[in-house]
Amino acid sequence: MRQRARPLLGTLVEVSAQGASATAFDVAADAAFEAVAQVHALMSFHEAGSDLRRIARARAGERLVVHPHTAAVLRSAQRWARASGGAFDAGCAPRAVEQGWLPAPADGTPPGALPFEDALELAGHCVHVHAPVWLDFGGIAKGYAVDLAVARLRRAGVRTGAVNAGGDLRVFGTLEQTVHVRSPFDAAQLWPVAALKDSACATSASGAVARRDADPAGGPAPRSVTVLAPTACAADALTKIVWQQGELAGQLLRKARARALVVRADGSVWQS
Amino acid sequence: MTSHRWLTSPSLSGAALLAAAAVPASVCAATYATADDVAHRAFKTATAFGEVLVALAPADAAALAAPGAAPHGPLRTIEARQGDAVLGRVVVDSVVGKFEQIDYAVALDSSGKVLAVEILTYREGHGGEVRMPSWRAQFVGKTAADALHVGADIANISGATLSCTHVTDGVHRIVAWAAKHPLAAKAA
Repeated sequence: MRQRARPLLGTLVEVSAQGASATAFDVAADAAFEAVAQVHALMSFHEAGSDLRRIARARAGERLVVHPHTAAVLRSAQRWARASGGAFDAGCAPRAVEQGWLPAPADGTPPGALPFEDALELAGHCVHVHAPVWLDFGGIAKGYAVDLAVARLRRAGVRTGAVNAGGDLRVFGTLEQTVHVRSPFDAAQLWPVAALKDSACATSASGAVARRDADPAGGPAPRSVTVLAPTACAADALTKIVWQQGELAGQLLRKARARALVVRADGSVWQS
Repeated sequence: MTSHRWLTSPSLSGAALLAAAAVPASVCAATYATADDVAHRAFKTATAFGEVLVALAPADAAALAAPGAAPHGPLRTIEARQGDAVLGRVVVDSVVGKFEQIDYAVALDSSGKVLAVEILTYREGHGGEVRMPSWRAQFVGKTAADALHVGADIANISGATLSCTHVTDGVHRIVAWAAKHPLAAKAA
């Protein structure tokens, strides 16, 4: 197993491969890291030149051309928002700014009240801004970056491997790989919870994503949510939806060929 | 073909998960690269590499230390050369977070621009253990060839996001130091 890691996306991004020569792996890993760094630069709310900040500066009626990666993530975010009745909310940056999780952009146009999926209309790589929106892709861009990195590794000839961006991970190839999840009660304890083959996993733990109150109809508040899904992007987005909706997300999970493991504050578990 | 399955039974409670499935070893470690690997990747056209241990003036030792930490010891660097031209250098450092210690290397070109930041090793334990000298002492003198067997086989960890804020801060300190101490264009 060959491994490399770089600090990207605000976390440790780890790339690993089996059966590749040292030289081949180096070239492949460079390409994978480059792709992750590109997603970071395009979709960071911190960097004034990012596509997200360009969108945050836009006024109602403006049209702007964004990078194909940004358009792909926005399209995916809008699909998850509609599929979940708004539980997936990429327009949550104003709340994150209010809470002090994100810096207030001095150059932003004050955001409106329209949900982001209605405020922004995509045509190809062109975003038509119907109402100002501050996007936060924190709940989906990491997963997208992991999928992109996997595609780069495969293109470079790596057949079996994994990409892990601080817990948003995807394994590929013919080997079944075990995934450990950190205990939400003790970060030093690891639970071997799932076996993945050509699949992805994401975990959201308490504190990191508690941006809205969970729906009481979906069960008690979660402490950690782990989702297994065919892609890291889907797993990433679905953890946020399951966090909000609990067991009510069951149908959406089945449709997405995904599964969830919810560990609640009282120690009870829901698994789909 | 995509497939995934749980290794845990739905009847388990979180507490039972903790007891039944938790990895008893509380230490997890990974070795990703050596400083030499980073130097060779960053300076592909280099014809020679030289280890340079830089003794730091007190002001630099203080500036390179994390806030509240003891002054930085001598700085381990690797200079990359092509003929007698100096292409740049790799600076090795480590940071201690809440649960982990991260060794990393920063490759800088001769103008001080960052070419790459790579993690060399990552190890974690219960917060206190990492800071305890006796616990850390077991790694002193180890090379990549001495596998850190404790938990080293644990890959693919999902869960509470690891912050790399400490690494980012460390990189900023190294960039500031490198700007203050530019490399001579020609090898001595």
